[in-house]
Amino acid sequence: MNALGFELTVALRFLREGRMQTALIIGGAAIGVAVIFFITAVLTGVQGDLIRRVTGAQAHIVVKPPEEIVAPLVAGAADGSRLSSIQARPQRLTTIDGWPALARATEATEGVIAVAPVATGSGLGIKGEAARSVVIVGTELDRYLRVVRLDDKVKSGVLVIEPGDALIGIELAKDLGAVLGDRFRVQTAQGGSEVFRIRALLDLGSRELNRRYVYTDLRAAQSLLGIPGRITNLDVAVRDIMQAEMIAAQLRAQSGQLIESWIQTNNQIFAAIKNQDIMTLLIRFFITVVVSLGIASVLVVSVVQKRKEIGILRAIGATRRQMLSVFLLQGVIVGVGGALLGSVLGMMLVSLFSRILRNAEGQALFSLSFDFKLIGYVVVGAAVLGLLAAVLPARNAARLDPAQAIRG
Amino acid sequence: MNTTQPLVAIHGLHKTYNEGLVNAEEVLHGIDLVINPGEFTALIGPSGSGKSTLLNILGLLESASGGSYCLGGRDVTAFNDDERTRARHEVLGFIFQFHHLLPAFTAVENIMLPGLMGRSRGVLQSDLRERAMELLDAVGLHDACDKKPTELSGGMQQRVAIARALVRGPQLVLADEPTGNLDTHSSDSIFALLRKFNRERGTGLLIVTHDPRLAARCDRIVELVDGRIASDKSNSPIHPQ
Repeated sequence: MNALGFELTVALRFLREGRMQTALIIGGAAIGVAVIFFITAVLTGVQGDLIRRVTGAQAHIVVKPPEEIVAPLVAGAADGSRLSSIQARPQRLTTIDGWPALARATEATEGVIAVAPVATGSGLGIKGEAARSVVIVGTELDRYLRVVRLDDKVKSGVLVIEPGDALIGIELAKDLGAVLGDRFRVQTAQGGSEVFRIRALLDLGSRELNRRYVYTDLRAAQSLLGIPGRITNLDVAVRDIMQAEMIAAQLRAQSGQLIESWIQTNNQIFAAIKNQDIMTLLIRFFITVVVSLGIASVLVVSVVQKRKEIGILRAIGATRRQMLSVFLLQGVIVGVGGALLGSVLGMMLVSLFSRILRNAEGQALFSLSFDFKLIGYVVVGAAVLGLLAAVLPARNAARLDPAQAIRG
Repeated sequence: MNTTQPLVAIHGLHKTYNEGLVNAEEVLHGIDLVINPGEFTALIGPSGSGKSTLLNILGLLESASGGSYCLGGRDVTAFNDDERTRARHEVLGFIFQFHHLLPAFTAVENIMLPGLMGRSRGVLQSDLRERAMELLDAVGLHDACDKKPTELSGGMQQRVAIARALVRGPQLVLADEPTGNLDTHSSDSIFALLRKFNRERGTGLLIVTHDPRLAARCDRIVELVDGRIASDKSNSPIHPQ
C-alpha cells in the first residue's frame, strides 16, 4: 500500500475493484469530453474561416471622418403648410484632421494592436486600350500589414511598395492584361495621374475585391486623390475580433469620427456566428449534464454495492467524513480520468477530421493545436463536476448506519 | 483486579427499535453489565435475545435508547457519531462472523487499514506494515500476506480479521460468532488464537456465540434471554493441553 493517505487509497481500490463500471463511466466521460473538444475545434475553425473570408481585406475597425449631412435651415411645419424635401448631399472625399495624434490615441486604446493610415478613393486603371475602375488604397505598408494580413494573399511577386510600385488584385491584372512587373496608369477625378509598376498580384478572397484593389504607398495615393498630407481613414486591428464592436464603441466615445467595426458592416454574419455559439453552448451544457448524471448514477450504485465494506470501514474506525471523502474522491478521479482520456480522444478526432473537412480552397478548416490551457480547463472543470456529481452518493455512504450495513 | 476501573460499565440499558412508531420493539430491557480489563467473556443466548444488539451498542455502532454506558472510564452515552467513531477506534476491535475483509485489499493491507485511517497519521507506513506482518505471523499466516481475501480459506480469512482487530492494540475485542461458519477444527484453532492474545497481551474479549462448547472454554458466561440478563457466572474452563 502506498503513502497516498487512507481516503485516496480506498477510493482508488474501490474504483479498481469495480473494473467494468469504472471503465464504462470513465469511457462515457471521455466521450463527452472528446465531443466537447471536437465541436469546439470545428466551430472555432469554421468560424475563423468564415470571419477570415468575410473580413478578408477589411480592417477590424475603420475610423472615418464624420459624414457630411445637410441640415435644413427651416424646419417643416407640422401642419404641412410648408413642404420641404431634404436631398442627401453627395459625399466629397473628406479627410481626418490631425490624424497622427488620432492614430496615437487609437493605438493606445486597450485591445487595439495596430493602426495604419489609409488614403483611399476611386480612380481608373488604364493599360493600353483597357480601362477599369479601381479602388486606390494608399498606405504605409509595414504598418498596414499589421492590420490586414496581405502576406498570405500574395499569389505572385513580393510585398514591397517602393515609390511607383503597386500591388493589385489578380482579376484586375487579368482585366488590364497586365502581368507582374508591367506598368499601368491610374487616373482620378481629382486630376491625378500616376504610373505604377506591379510588384505583386493578390488574391483578396473575393472576386469583387480582386478586380478593384490597387495598393500603393500613402504619398502616391494622397497626390492622386488631391489630399496631400491627409488621410481618409485609419484602419485598426484588435486583438480579439469578437470584441471589435466594444472597442469601436469606446473609440466612438473618445473621438468625433465615424467608426465602423467589421461586426457592424457584416451584421448578419455576426448574428449567425452568435447563434452558432449559443447552439454549441447548449450542446456542451447538455453533454456536461449527461456526463455528470452518469458519474452520479454509477457512484450511487457503487455505494449500494459496497454497503458492507463501508460498514466494516466504519466499524474499524473510519469516520463519516472519511467515507464522504472516499466517494467524493472517486467522483474527482473519474472526472479527471475521463477528461484526460477525452482530451486525447478529442485530439485524435480533430486530427482525423482536419484531413476530411476542408474549406473552399481545399485547406484544412481547423488544425490540431495542443491547447494546454483548454486541456487544463477541461481537467479542472471535470474534477469539479465529478466532485459535484459525487456529493449525493458520498452523502449516502457517509450516512450509512454501520450496524445495519454489516448485518447485510 | 478489584482496584482497576471497569473497562465497560452499563446500567439500565434499554434499546427500542423504531422508537415512537407503531411497530416499536424493545429488544433490551434494562441491562446491567460490568466488564473488567482482560476478561474473556462469552455472551450466549437464543436467537432474538438481543445479543447482537447488545454487542453493537457496546461496540458503539448503535446507540442505546436509555441507560448509561461508560467505556474506559468515559461516559460515552451521549457521544455523537464522530466521538463514538474515535472511541471505537481507540479502545475496541471487531471480529465478525463472516470475516468481513475488504476484498480489494491484500491480507496485510486489510490488517493495516485501521492504522491508516487513524488520526495518528504520523505513524510510518513501514512501521505499520511491520506491525501488520508481526500479527500475520502470530496468526500463522506469514506466507499469505500478499494474497487477496478471496484466495484464502474461511479459517484463514478469520485469522486475518483477528489480526486486523488487534492491530491497534485494543483493550476489548468484540467478536460476533467468530467461529460461526467454520468447521470444528478451524473453530478450535481460532479460539486458541483468541485465548493466546488474551493471555499474552491482556486483550479483553467478549464473544457472542451459539456454541456451548466454545462458551464453556471462556472465563465468564453471560446469558441473555429476551433482552434481559438471565445468568452471569464465572467459569473455570478446562484448558486443553
